[in-house]
Amino acid sequence: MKVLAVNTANMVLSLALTDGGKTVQSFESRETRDQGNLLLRHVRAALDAAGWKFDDLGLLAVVTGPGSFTGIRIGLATARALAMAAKLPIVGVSSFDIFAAPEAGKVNLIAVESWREELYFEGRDEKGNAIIPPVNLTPEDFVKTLGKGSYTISGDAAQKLQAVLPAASVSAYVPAAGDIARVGENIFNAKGAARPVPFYLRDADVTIAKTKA
Amino acid sequence: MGVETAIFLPMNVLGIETSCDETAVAVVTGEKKILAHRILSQKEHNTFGGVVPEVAARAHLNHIDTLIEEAMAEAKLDFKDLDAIAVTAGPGLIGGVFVGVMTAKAISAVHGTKLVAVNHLEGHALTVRLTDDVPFPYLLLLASGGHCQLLIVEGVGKYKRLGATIDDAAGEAFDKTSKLMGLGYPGGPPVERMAASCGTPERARKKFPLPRPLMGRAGCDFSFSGLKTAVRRAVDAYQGEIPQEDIVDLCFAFQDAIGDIMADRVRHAIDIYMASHPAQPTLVVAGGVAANKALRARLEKCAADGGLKFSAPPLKLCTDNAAMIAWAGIERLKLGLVDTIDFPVHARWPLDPDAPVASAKSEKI
Repeated sequence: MKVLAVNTANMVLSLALTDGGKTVQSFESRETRDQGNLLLRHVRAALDAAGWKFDDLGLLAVVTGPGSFTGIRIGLATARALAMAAKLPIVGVSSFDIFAAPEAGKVNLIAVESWREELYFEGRDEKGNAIIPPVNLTPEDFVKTLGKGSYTISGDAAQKLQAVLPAASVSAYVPAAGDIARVGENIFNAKGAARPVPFYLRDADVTIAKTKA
Repeated sequence: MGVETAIFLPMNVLGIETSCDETAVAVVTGEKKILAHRILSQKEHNTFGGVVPEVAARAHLNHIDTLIEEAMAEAKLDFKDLDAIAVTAGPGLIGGVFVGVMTAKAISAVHGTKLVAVNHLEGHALTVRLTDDVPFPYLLLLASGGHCQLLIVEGVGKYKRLGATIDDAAGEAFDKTSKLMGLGYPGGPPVERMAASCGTPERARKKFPLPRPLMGRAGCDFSFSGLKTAVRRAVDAYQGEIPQEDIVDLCFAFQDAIGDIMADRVRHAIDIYMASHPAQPTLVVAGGVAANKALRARLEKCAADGGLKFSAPPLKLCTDNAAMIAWAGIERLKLGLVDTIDFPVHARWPLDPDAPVASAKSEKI
């Protein structure tokens, strides 16, 4: 199956085209200032380079968060509209899904960057079951909720969690854009397609807008 | 008489608007037919008394794709039948703008549809050409919850600003007044309703002698923050609940003050405009504030007194909508103005980039 995967939720602009799990084209950048402006240009360039059309795709996968609120929406608005316009199946992949790095005999603590004091955490067992449900806490407060155990930390905020949990090891796993497509394909095979919903995990800040041209 | 060549191509344009608290989608044709018109006014902000940007952006994302599907079905069109997608690229709340822009770009990427990045303010500015065939040039008062300015509209993309608010927008003053009296958000309709029910205007004016900032001063700038503060003081003077008749009188006095300020500023603008454009006497009023019937009547009289024709969009096209965005897109398309798929969004995007920033300081004489 040919898959297009997009992630703009984790302060990255990454996208990949995979075919049967193999990465055919990918683009990754940490320069996110213009991610919204540039995303579709990169998508089209990747399709052109692969010699594919939207009709050739069998699945769209998009990262739903948690992460950057604006980034989550850039990815979801794009992927949903691509799915609508090209009549393609679509699945959402959470940031925890893509950063998960289970290790034998250990609980995988997944730490996702929020660019605030509180980070996003989830804990999974070897089989990928979420045994610690997603939370938005400071690393200090999150550690207080943990029992004694053997932990591996992964995710783009892994270092911040390890700083307050020195006994845990940090996984070397860093997902590539193609991994998002592979995770998406697994989700699609297990559960089928579904309109992805944003996974903010933190309420909106309430400040009243003041707009001026 | 000059002839404006009207080329109404059989175009189908999808318009998308997500720059504030209205998620709106429309399909408009080159022959000025509105084939579909959907507006979802976000109710999420009512409890806050103003638009919360993150809440707005979340709500836009929740609804935009469904609204587009509904609008396309209503227009009986497929995406491949679209000649272009026009989308608000600013100014506005950037989180919301992104939702509309990414959606437009994605549809365009799939079907190769032309894209037009529309300035939200230009949408308001050109609406009367969709509804009333108003030829260029004209004098425009654009007053809404986020903007208040007077411009000479010379053509598509050609604006000369005569004045703007140095503090709050007129619609903001309505929202604030409404919030202070517990009348809800948005503040325009309830304040207008209360003011209209006032049977004792003289008593209202005497009881609440509100200020008219900048009135009588040179130029065409606006100021509403002093008026807002005066309303707050008037409300604060009550211990506990304000009697209903005083709410009615205060709403009347407030709207009366806004009307006086606007009429004064518009008169100055008419003098300036008519000096340079005596042969094209038209005053256009657009934006949410133009939906206020009392203010509209007031401005219509200003136009008549100055020997100008008056034009304003129908009420439902005064407030934010996507038909105006689609139409602005059609106006730009007719001039061959299209945008590439990497066009940027703008939080701030003045119609007249050469105009100095209006500020309290620049107003001192």
